Amino acid sequence: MKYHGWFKPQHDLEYARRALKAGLDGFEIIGGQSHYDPVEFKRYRENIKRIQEELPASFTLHAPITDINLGSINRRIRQASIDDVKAALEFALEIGASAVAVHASPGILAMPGGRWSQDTESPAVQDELIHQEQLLLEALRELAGFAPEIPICLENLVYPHELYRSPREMRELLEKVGCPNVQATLDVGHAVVSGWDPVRFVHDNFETIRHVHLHDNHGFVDEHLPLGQGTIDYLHVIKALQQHGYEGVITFEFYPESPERFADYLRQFS
Amino acid sequence: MRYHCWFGPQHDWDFAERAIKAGLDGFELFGWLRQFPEEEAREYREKAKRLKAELNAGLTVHAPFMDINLGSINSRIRQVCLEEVRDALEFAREVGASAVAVHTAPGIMGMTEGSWVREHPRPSSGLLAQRELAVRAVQDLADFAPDLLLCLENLIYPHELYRSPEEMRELVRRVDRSNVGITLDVGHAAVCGYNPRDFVQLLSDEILHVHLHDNHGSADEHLPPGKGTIDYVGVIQSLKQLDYQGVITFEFELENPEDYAAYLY
Repeated sequence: MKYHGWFKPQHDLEYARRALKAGLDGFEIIGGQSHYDPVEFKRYRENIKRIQEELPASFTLHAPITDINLGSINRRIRQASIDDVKAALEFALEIGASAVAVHASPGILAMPGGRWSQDTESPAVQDELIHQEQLLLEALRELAGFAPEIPICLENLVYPHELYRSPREMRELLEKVGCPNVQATLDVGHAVVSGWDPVRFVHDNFETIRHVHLHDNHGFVDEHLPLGQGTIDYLHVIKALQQHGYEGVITFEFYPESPERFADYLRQFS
Repeated sequence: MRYHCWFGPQHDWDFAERAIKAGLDGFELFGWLRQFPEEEAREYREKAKRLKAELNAGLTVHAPFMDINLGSINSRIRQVCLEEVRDALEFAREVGASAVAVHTAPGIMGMTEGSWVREHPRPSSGLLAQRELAVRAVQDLADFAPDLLLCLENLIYPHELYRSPEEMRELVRRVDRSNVGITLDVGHAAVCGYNPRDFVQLLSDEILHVHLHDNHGSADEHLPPGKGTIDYVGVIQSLKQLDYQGVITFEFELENPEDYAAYLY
């Protein structure tokens, strides 16, 4: 198992050095060019390049998520979403990331497509849902073909308006996509907020899990707290992953009080 | 008060003629032409243009809303959203519509920034940025179409922003454009737990457009009035008391346009 932490635009090289010294193996990069001010993004890329050149770090990358719906039934939004994720995949290739975390289809369609509309009998809404999933599958296959060398790891999502939250939904989605480089990111915090036991997730879906996001919460809000500050039994999750011989990356998706704190978590896991 | 019903690409000319004959004043058109196959979109545009000339119908347009977030902090997505709504405004102008219903910023940002996050003590920088961007986007659109009324709609589900009468008032005040008001969506108000009459009371000056449909208070079912649990007669009465002069769009589907006559108050 390898451990990564966030490296975001607000972090500097000194932070990276200290995190690696505390035992991290590398960093998860936030690949959302359209979210950043161009000057900020340029500096961010330069920092990442320096890490590549000067420090012994591996990378994973998080594709942009906010307002992205790869299955949007709005053609222009869908295209913009695909373009945004493609830009992230190019960035991942450039930095040699071993996995890219992607949110499949949250979103607004999720508005009529989430739990609420599953409660409604409206055939029109059901048609829309099926339509969105078809579009999503096409989009994911397009992305998989665009970067066949990168594992695209779809993340289990969080809130009731989102699709793809349960172990079964995730398994079925991946089966339908049917591309070898489209796999899963297990997000431990999301699993808990959406009411699924992350340990179950590991046991039921292990063969698809190529990437893990680890952070804490109190079971209701996706708080992204440092481990131990919420109520998640994260040690059991780690143990389950160890039992299965997980060899991928676990990304700590929270801001530690200081990069040195990573050493404490790593000690707990060994 | 004037009454409109939906007129979409699936409707034919006969439907329009019969609806007007049944007493409706006009139609609410779908402003998302790009979502239709090209040929269908062309035919729809032609039909829509004839409605005013040949039937003397009043027209309103519903801007695209699916996955639209005018305040998106993703610049690429925000740009596309603005273009989508701008297209709807141009379509409205082309067909001679008076008002355009717009959903401001629901959405995915909603994912992280809806009520779940509001339960969280500090609003994130993303939420604050989205609020600003949404106001600016609506201002841009309002200035783009000073000849049209932009009517921001109260939204529905817990992950969406702009659901309460207070939030809507705050939004319209911050946008501060004379051609921007509110679409009171009676069904949405009920699903998110507000009494639609409270909207009418608090926003009497801002409401320029109304969407009327029924539900059972938990899903946005778009049922004909009376099929759900909303006190729609009370809403109509409040609007009448305040001498509301705008359009009420029946946002529910009936097979026979003649049947809309039963809902004219």
